[in-house]
Amino acid sequence: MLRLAALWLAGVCASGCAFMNQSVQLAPLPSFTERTLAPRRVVLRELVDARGDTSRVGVVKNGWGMETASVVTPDELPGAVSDALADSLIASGWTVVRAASNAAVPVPRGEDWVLSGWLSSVMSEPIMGVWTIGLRAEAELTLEVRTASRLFRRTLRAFHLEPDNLVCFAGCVEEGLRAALSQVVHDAVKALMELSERVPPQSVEPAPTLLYLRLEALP
Amino acid sequence: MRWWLWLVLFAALGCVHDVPRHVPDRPPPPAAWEDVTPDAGTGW
Repeated sequence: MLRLAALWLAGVCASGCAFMNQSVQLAPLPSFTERTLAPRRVVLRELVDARGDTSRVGVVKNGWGMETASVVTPDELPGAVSDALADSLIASGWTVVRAASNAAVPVPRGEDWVLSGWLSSVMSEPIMGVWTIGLRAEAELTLEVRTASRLFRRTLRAFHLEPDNLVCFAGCVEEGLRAALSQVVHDAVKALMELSERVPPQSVEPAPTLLYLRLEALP
Repeated sequence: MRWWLWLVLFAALGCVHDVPRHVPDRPPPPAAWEDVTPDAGTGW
């Protein structure tokens, strides 16, 4: 029995078990600049964290593909994505006003937009080969754009594949997750630019006070 | 049972052990903007 236990322990150790959680730093994320023909003024509500499991952003596996630990981050991910999105829109010529996710924002008028959304997945997973380790990482973000009369929604999914290496420590996981998150921010900026050019500006109705003044001016 | 048979059995169990996937093998097709205004049609 003792020999069997020793063999089991040797097998577990030989397979490259990692029982310690890996901590990665994902904020701040880079911002991007995109050309736009129709810059907007937007109220950006802070993104909501809608991930199923907010305690981790990835899994650590042993040589046989068994999950042995988690990848965690001290960063507040919806805030980091909101910051990168706001910085990118400002760098692209838009005017951005930040608001809390639960703030009461009035219905936009004219060409203004209210932008909100939720982060539904940030996850990394190693791919265990015989001698090498790869990594898959994904990030999923849903955006909602409220214009003066319409509501648009789009889900953006970024997928990053790290090439096979002999080892994949926290640095490799961090690189993969940052690449996926950066990609989803870049895709979001491009999607907003596309929507901005496809949605025609809304005509602004004259305010009632101006109408009264016009009526009074009649003979 | 010979000791190395245990090793083979353990390795085989490790190989067939099915771990749930957290990240898909390949990226999903890109989605487009949808008009989800309550009184709207299907959008673009």
